Amino acid sequence: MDVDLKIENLSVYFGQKQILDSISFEIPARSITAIIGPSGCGKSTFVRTINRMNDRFDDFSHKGSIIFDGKDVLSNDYPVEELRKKIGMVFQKPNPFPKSIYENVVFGLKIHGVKDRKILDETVKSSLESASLYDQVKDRLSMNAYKLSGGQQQRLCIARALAIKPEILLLDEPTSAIDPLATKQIEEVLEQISKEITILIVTHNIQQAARIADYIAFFYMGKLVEFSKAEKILNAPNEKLTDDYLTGMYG
Amino acid sequence: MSFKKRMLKQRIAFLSLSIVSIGILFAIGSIFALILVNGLGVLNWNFLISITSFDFKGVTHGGIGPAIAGTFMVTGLGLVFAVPVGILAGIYLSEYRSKGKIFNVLRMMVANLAGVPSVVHGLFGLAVFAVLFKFGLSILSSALTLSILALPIIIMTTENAMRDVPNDLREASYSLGAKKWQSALLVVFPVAASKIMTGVILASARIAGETAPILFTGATLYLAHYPTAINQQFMALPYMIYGLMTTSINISASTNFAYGIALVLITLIALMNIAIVIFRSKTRKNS
Amino acid sequence: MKNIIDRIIFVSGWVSIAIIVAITFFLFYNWIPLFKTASPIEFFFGTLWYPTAIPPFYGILPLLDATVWISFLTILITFPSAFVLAIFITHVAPKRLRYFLKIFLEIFSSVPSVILGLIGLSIVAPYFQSVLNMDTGQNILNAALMLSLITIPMPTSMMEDFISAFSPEQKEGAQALGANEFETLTKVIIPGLKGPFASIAMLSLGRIFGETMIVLMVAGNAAIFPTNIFQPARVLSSTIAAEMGETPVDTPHFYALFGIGAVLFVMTFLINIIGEVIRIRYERQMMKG
Ligand SMILES: Nc1ncnc2c1ncn2[C@@H]1O[C@H](COP(=O)(O)OP(=O)(O)OP(=O)(O)O)[C@@H](O)[C@H]1O
Ligand SMILES: [Mg+2]
Repeated sequence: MDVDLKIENLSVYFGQKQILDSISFEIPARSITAIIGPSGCGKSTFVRTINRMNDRFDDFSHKGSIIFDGKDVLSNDYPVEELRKKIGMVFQKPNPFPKSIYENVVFGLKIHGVKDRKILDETVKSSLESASLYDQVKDRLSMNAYKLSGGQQQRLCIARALAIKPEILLLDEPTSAIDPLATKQIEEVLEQISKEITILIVTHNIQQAARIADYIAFFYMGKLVEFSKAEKILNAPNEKLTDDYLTGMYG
Repeated sequence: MSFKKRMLKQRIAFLSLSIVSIGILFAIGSIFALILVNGLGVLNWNFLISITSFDFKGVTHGGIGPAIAGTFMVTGLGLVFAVPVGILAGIYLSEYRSKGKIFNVLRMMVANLAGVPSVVHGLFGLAVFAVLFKFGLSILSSALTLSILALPIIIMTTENAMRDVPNDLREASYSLGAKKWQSALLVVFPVAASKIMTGVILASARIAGETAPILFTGATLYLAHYPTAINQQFMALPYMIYGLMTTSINISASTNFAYGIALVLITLIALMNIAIVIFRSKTRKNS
Repeated sequence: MKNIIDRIIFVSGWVSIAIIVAITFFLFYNWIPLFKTASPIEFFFGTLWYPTAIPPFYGILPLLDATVWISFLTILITFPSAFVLAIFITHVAPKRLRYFLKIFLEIFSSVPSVILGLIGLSIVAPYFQSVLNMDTGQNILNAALMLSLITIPMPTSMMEDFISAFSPEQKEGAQALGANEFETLTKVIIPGLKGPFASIAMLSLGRIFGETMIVLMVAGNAAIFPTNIFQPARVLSSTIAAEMGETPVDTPHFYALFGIGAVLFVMTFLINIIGEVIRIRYERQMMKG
């Protein structure tokens, strides 16, 4: 098994409050890892720490490290813009820019200095195809992205993240704000792209994890309780806490 | 107290409130009416474009063309200086803020700059732009002075407009590897732009009507031609009203002329305000 | 802060402070040389302002006195008017009229003060003189009236914001106890507005203090100690405006006018700071409570 991200003893604090407590595990490359756990257990905090979105908060601090390509991405020497180019993110609520579909997809390329019109055009096509949105929007690429449906907007956000060819894609409950049909499409997209990209997805929905995840990490009150192959966690978890959660003790 | 009595008390209170309010509103309305009625009499095409002249009795003839041109020039040039700096400063306050007192101090200084009396700005412009920088009494000195007046208005509206932009757009752009300035200028600013525009218009309306800051930085009462360069002195609408009403040797003959100028000035400013209202209803629809 | 654009933004962010510092510096820099000719005591407590007489007098006390008179008379008219108007807009006027009134006041608030000067000079002054038989129509009362008119929109809209920001629950609480709308207003809303009102009063005062053109045009411009509101007067701001145009650079008179500017600047600065501090403190209280 290829390892893509190595989490070592990661603890996270907001001010005095400890949110994550010595998390250690290795995220396998080119597969889907789902993070599950009750609300408030630190799932979002965890994925947002990986691409350093939490740096924006003044009271954020951490201990431990996250090793990617042999380097600690949490160290101050690691250029954060480079990191985010390699580790993309999709959020819970679809957040396209109020610009055209085309401009949304090429935004990442443009800020990283790509100007060649041909490359931009090709990337728009390939990214939208990967997000299975291309056929629906190919005739109206200059339309404002806000006119798309919620599910389409979320797939546009995936395409936007894919456009800069990340090695890892983080998704924080990407389907919780959209309808079941759109959810299914997104799950199919994720399964497709996981052949080339490592996917880390936070989900509240155990069925979803069962449908798409190769590996599952169960978080509880800031701790990693268990991490293992999906079938193992779902059928025969080692810990009683995991079992309780899966059988619906926490709703 | 009985219910009836209490209701009566309320009715009397609200009635007297209404009478006073309508009185105040009437006074304000009659200012507009006076200017319209007195100003319309002198207003015609010739008045708008001709050069001003005075005869030996002190009666004003001709029109206010150079004054309109002068007001447009100082206002426009003032904005050229104030808009970029003001918008960037507003962006700094909203996007680059962090914890700590220093940002509150900065914000307070912007509010204080907005409260500096305009005649003090005039003194500053005289000492710095006219004398120290040797720009002399000129359109340039006046425009720079006015730009300082416009600055806090633009900063404050920009800051508020940028802050109103939802955070998830910032997160989206950061997550794609955008730097702070890229996210601020390429993502947040375009969303805030139409609200910022209202601030810019507001600032223009404000500086177009100012007299004190240009009084001794470059405005003059009489110019025989249209302004042609920014190192010249200039005529301006508000200053001309003041001049006609206080230094003319034939006040009564000048008064009508002054009303004509006032009508032009108020029309300009009202148009800008209407533009603001339209911009605002647009941004409300979009969000 | 390595990027050039970040640096430009940073510098722009600090420009306002730089300007405030520069204004302070240049006002004092051009004021200090006056003390070679007239001592600070003569400047602040001298009772004569005759800067072009021989020998000249540079006492600003009469100007200061007149400034206080006009400012207080103006705030006395402005504040209650704004209060009444704010209640009228929020409680009495029909809903459809409210929006219109707000826009009307907003447009009026951007009317240049020189236009109020024109009205005061061409309409109010002759009326005072010929109909009300005053010695002169260009006096403190006229200036205060015109100043009030132009100031009213600002405190009105601030008060209106505060009154309508009052939480509906608090209002409903009082109404559930059987209070009618007027009683809710006087017993619940108004007592809760002491903080903001103090701050609004300060901020309006700062405005009035620095206003120049109206007073210059309609107050009659006599540098005397007024004894009643029907007398002409000359205030700090309008003295600068009236005299700076004819004053040669780097003369004692020039320095004295900058001195007046410095006094004006420091006073409005303090008034505004006090107003801001009260407002911030009040907002904090609101957040806690
Ligand atoms: N910026 C922040 N400042 C302070 N505390 C925070 C911050 N972000 C998150 N927290 C706290 O960290 C804890 C974990 O939050 P987090 O959002 O990571 O949980 P989650 O597992 O994603 O929950 P959910 O399933 O509801 O999304 C919560 O108690 C939350 O209040
Ligand atoms: Mg979450």
